[in-house]
Amino acid sequence: MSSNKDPQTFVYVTFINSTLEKVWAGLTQNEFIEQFWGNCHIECDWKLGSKFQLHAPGGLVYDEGEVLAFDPPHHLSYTFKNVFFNELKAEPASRVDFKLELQDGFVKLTLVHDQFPTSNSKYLRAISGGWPSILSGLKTLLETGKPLPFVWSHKNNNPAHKFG
Amino acid sequence: MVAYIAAMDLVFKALADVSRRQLLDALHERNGQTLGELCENLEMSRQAVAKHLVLLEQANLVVTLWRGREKLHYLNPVPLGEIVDRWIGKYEKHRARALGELKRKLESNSE
Repeated sequence: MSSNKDPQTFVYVTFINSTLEKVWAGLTQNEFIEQFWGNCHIECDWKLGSKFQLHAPGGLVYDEGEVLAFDPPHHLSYTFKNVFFNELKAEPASRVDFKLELQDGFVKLTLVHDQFPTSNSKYLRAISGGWPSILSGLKTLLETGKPLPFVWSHKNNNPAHKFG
Repeated sequence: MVAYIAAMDLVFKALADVSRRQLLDALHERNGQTLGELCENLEMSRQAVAKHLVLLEQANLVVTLWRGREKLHYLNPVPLGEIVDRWIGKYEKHRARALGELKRKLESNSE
């Protein structure tokens, strides 16, 4: 990190009434991912250095990256780069980092998404709208067994506004 | 449910203070600030700001991360999002946002 002062970071901490293993499965297994991540699924063999791809319905690839950490059920990290939307794909890869820990009988999920390249990253703005939808969907699915209706953005359901 | 109510109580208590809301505004303006930076723009002692930040952290409204030797404070969108999700429906949320944007535009034009 070139500067200690880092406003270019998205932080999200939520408490989920579940187990570490289930939350871990929710982040890494498609039978769960498809239910809360806007019908997307992840293609990845979850080995260090392996390629990570987020597939949208219809075989489109939205985002790509590489596995940086895979330490079940506590630490998952991958690089994340958009490869689909014109206004986002010009930006180089950022970093997604999940930490799971038990606190007061809940799973504390901490997401830090950082290493955005520019001081005015459009990708940071986009993911700041996307992660709350995705992760509140994960929490609801694990706590109630039912998925939330998923809305990619406040504007509409057009994938061009994904994360918007 | 008991834990959920206790957590909501912490959020509303944390929000029920103008200084703590100013701190949230400061982080909304620029996320990832140190205690020292947050003190610069507020007329409060460092100790008072530190105490307010503890309450904001306990309510999960603020999260701290160590970056090198500095402890930086970040807004956590989760508790306010849960309040919105609980009392404002999915479709009303979009309308409320559109009306909020309209109000802001009209008010900025009249200046």
